[in-house]
Amino acid sequence: MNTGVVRFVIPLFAMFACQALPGQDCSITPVKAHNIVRSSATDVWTYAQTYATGVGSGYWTPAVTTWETLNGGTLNGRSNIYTTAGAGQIATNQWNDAVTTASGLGSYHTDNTHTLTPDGVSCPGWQQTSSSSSDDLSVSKPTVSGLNAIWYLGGSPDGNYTNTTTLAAASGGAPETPYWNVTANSNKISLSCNSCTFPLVTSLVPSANCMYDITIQMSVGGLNADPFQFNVNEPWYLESGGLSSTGDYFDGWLTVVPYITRDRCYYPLEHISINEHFGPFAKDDPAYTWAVPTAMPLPGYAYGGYTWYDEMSIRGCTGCNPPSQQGNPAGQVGVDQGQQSWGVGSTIEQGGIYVQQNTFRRFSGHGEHQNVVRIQN
Amino acid sequence: MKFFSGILAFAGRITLAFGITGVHAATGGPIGLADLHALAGQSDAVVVGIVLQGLQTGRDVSFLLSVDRVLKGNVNPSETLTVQWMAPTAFNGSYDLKGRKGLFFLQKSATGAWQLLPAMAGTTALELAMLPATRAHVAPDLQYAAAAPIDEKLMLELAAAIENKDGSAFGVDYLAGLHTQGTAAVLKVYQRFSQSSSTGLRAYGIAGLIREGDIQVLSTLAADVTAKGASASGDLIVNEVCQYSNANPTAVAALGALSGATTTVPRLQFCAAAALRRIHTKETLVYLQELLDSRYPDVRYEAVAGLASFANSGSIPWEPPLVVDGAAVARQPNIYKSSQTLENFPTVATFQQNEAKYIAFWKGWWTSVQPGLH
Repeated sequence: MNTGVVRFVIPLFAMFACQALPGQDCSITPVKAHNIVRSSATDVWTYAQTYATGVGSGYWTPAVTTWETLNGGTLNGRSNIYTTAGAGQIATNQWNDAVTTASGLGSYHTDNTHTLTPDGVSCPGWQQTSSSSSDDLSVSKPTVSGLNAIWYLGGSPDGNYTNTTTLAAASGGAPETPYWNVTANSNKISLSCNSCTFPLVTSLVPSANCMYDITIQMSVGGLNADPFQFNVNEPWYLESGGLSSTGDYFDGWLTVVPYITRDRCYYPLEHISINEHFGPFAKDDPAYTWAVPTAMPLPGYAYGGYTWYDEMSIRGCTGCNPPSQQGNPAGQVGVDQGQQSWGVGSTIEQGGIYVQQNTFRRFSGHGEHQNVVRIQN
Repeated sequence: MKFFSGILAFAGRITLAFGITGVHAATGGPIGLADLHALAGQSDAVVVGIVLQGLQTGRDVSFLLSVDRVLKGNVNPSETLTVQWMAPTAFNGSYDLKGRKGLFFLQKSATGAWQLLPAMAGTTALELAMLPATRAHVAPDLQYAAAAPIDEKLMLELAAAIENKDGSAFGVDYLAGLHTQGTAAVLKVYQRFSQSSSTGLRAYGIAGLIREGDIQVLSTLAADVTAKGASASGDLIVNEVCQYSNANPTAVAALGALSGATTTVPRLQFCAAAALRRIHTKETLVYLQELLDSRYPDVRYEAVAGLASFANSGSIPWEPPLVVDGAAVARQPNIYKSSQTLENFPTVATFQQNEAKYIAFWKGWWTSVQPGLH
């Protein structure tokens, strides 16, 4: 007998018109109660009931017939299951079906027939009443949506290179709160919450492969969603974008050194911020008193394409040779040098991912990046 | 090949043309080409013109600009505009700007003055804040209608400057940022350049056509490299091969030929391999598996990544779209993905730690799947 909450109670008809014999009132209000309910993530409760209320309810015998299907096929032999109860009682068909990732999923449908039959002796002249009802419920696995690949940039985002993403759980109609867990490579990301609908994922370290090597498992009431595969990438390498080139710059020179930033899977990256840092400078020739360069950033949003350039230049300089006034070879007198290091994914000096260090060396007529060391993160 | 001989020579001419007072500055830092499409969108006016008079004093730049041509905005040719800009601190100086010509992106300020929007991102001098433009005769092929899209106008202005050797600053690189791909105008320009008697212009043309996905020019490049070696290509062209994405089987065959012809040209073989990896259709596999034996480790990595990208297509992060003759095409669901193919798609660092393992896996994989490929 159903003792649960009746979710769906509808009078079969309005109050039955009184046709009782003198001294015997068989008036009732027929009632049908029915629904298909996701009582928990792993349980589907189907029920259909017939009963009567009113002064004459004790003279009526209820019955209910149910045909239940799942995805169009009869479910567990429930083809026209007929159940009756004693007069004045409640006739009930009800079942609980387990839901797992392998079974119990899909479209549930019931067709019910509700009848109330009067006691022919006590209620002569009263007619059996009958009506139908139907219910539908779609039961699906919980699902996860959201970005499945983010970046590790040392702890901060950089434009479209995000180091966080918010995932969303769709519980598929289950009433429980979703639960999240990282089941593979859990050291690579963190979740802002475990029992929640919208956890924030933050990158901690990059993936070791160029596929989704991090697995996030979301479940609702013990029912698992498909594993959500995830990846964390990282800017990794500065590739030379070609030969450097030098030209006149007023009374001095200007050299550009092209680079292409590549990720851990060696794809080129565009619109990613670049920053530089200089260590102490040492003079190759004390006769030169050139100003030491100041570290500058390049915001990722500001430039297009994959190639960016380190611009080395000097003007108003003592002893420098504009290339147009040089012989060949010329401009080769060493002036000074300092260590230069490069960060990617941030405009903050020494922020982002440290990808390269080199000697920033100036000659009388040009500049060079020497002793390039790619940092293997 | 020098990328920037144009802009640097251009800067050199400025030295001769304009006075410079005694300053002593080491300037520079990372710079990048602005996205011209976005820059044009932010601009209230885009004009070609010449500075009638003006100075940079400290960081303050102010000049009168005589307008020659108007690409965008409510400005008339022959009109004179007052333009202002605040140079970066690193480019503090005092210069006479008279005679400076170029293509200027301008934004009207609240006070009504025109502000220069720099065409170079990063800490950059005025010389790189505007695009080169020509005041000489422009060939009919490089002229545009008033109603042409702004990107097409910019592309043709740059092309005219390049052709007239009037400051070829970053020409092809700037052209890459314009939304003109596949238009008749851009193809006409690149074809014109590719047939030029000038080596430099021809390189621009070939690089541009490769960028457009042209198959014939790629096939010709493969033949030239086979015949002449590395001298047949330059950095401009090589970098475009790196980004080549036309998955037309004929184009793939040309890339394959290029990858085979460049066994002694590391950068070009790498770029051919990178393009094959980017495309990773079944037609690329026969070439990629051969590149597993390249003498260059970065090429071998691209070969592994290309084979892995094919086998795991649909299940790899940031998978490039498949493009055939300029049209995006859905990648076919693949039947080759397995836990093993997924596990054997390493990052470069992981690959370097145990290269032999990955090379052996993908050689074995190729042997096993090749008979069934059709």
